[in-house]
Amino acid sequence: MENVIEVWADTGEVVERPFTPEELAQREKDAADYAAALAAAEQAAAEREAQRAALLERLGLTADEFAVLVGGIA
Amino acid sequence: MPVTIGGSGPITGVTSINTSVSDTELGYLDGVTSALQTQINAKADTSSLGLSFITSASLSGASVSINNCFSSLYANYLLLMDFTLSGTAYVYYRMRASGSDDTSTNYIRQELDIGSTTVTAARGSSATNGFLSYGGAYRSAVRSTIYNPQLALATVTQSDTVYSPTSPSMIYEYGFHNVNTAYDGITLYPGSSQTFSAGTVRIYGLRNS
Repeated sequence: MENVIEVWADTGEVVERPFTPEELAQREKDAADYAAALAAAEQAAAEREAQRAALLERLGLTADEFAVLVGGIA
Repeated sequence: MPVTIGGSGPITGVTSINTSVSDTELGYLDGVTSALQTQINAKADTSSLGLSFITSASLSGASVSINNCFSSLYANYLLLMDFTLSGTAYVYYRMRASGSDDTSTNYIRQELDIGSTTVTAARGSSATNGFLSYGGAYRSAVRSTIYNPQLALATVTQSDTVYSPTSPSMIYEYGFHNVNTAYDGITLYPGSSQTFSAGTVRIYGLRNS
């Protein structure tokens, strides 16, 4: 399957073509940027969850009990 | 020359009824079943409609670029897209001018993601792409309003997506492309190395007045 579809709205022309070298380089950069952002977000979420669990333990509450306390749904 | 015909049945051997109506023009009456002027008067005046279809494209592959869809005819545009991806991913956009994507770090966005009772939010800045939608190996749909892409102003996008038919969720992606440049096209592509499996994107122009 070709990788890129290009459409011209004014003429109706449709072209299917492979990525140009520049587009391919950009795509690889996009993938690397996304992987880095995802890793950072997952690390931040894990740190936040660890802080939450530590806080609940200090308070002597389960996650369900805390949810009831603040009015949310576990 | 006037012709007088008695009785009923097809008229044959007559080249014209009078000097201003030709045989060909008479032929245009074939298929008419009611008064022509009444039909014309009843026809809607489409020149005053607020939404004008510009183009559509079938979605497949890794990237779909639409050229020359934004012009001085309209300030704002509506993009409707229903789609299926090969796997879970965001769908991004890049503004496009003269056949080239703008990959400068001028895209910023605010996201609101709602699934059941869980609401999460995210913000991004200095990105090389904008967020349009989110989907997976199931049908999703997004409605996006695009403001002033063809003017040398920041382009604003407001995109509402519904995704995941087994656990319906919605995601709102609102963003700016903060550069004072005019664009005539847009590129749409899934992230995470996913591809479009199926779907259609349609773009409409919104009348200025």
